[in-house]
Amino acid sequence: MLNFYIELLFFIEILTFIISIWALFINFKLYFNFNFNSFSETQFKLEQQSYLQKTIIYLTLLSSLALIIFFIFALDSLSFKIKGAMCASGIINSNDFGNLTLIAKLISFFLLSFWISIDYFEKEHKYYPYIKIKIYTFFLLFIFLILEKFFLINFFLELFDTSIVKCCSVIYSNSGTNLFLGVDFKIWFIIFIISFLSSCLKNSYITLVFETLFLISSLILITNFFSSYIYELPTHKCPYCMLKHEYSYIGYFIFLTLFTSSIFNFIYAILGMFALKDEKLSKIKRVSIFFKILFVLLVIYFPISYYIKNGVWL
Amino acid sequence: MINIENVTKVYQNGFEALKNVNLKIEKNGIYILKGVSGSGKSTLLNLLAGFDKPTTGKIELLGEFISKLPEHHMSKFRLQNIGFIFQSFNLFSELSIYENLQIPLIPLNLNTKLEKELIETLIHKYNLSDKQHQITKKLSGGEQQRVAIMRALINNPKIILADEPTANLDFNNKMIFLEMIDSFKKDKIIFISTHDDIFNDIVDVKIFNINGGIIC
Repeated sequence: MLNFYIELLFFIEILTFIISIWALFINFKLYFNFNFNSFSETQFKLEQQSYLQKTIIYLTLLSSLALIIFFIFALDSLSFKIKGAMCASGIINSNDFGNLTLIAKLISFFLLSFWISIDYFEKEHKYYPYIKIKIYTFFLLFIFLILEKFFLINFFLELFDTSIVKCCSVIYSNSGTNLFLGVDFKIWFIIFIISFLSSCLKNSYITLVFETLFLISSLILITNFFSSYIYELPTHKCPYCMLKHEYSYIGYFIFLTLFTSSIFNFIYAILGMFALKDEKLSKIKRVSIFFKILFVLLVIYFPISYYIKNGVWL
Repeated sequence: MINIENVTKVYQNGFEALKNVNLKIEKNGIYILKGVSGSGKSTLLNLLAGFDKPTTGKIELLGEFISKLPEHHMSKFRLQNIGFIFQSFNLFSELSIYENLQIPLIPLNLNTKLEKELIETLIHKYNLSDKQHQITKKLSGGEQQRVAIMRALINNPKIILADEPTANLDFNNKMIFLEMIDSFKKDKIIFISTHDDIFNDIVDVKIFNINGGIIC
């Protein structure tokens, strides 16, 4: 069952986790001993070690982004070996741990980005004012890193016992209903449009609510509406096939623009809650809006171009 | 203006270069740190310039605890407040005098006119106008030292640190160096580490002796 990509995935996952343990060790030392007003040897060492931790976290963020993409890619490579699977969706939905792994990976990536954003703001200050937020964020992050590894191992253990899985058209197309999470797709569309238009709002709490709605509605609509136009087939609804070569890897651009936009907007909202007012915060908002517009343009291109070419909607 | 409290520096190999050093400088002027090789002079100077961090203790310069400053803030502080003269000058040997003086001004983003004015005023003041476009490796030791001093002064820092500045100079050039530093001692702190006795004869100089990492 194992192939080269899965082995490589596990190797990088283990390596990243080991260096994260090192960062956790430093985090504990910072939690118990960091006292900026002290001029002791311990304090000077801790200040130096905080740079080491920062380097490890930057490295973890990079590997984490690569691992999310590689996780899907590796699962896709397994679709040739398991009956019924046509793409990564069959594999990932073969047991409960698949989607849990992906969600944990995305949350870890968000927390890593959040940590790095706080660090970016802290650089403006001389005396580590956000060290506590960074310490607590890392503890939370590490819980998700453990969960992620736990789900990943369980996912593969269960997958090895699976001989047949469902393909994406069965998983996403045969619900026979227009409801998702009990809500009609038309409502999801309205939520998508309203939350997109509210991206310019500056209030942190409103931003948090609307960004969550935008992310959920986008993922639902990518799977159930936009994907059909990407594949130009009304019965083909899948968020994974678009990551393949046949569709020019367009899925990577779609998901990267969506997640980048959301991560930046969540960071804007959460840092705003800590009463952090900064010119850089407005820059984060602008970056988020830029990627959001790019994402929306990317996804609406497919239905519009289909309509122009064929004169009908799917 | 310079306040050092209980500073210790132990290198990774276990060598204790500074032992509980305390030093206070409150007025502009020339201050000499004397001591033999290995006594801790350069270590103290490196700590004052923020090139290195102490193992323990406070270093306060112009109201800023530089021993606690993160590196990018330290660079900014150094750029605005500290000029450093090295024993071997550390000039860019393939660049001209003018270009060597341009380099510390790059991060300040000055307009070309102001930059030119600053550099040319300084070059004129120290009598190197005719050689301003000559590459520095072709200059004499004394001239290179003058360029090094000009580079330390170009940002108009409040503190000048000099590590063995006369070690590579002959007697005449040493005298020129003394004249030069004497000309700006009223509005700057000039802190010189040296084992050269030539400084003993200058008036208004405060001398600290350092031995085995202890100021005595």
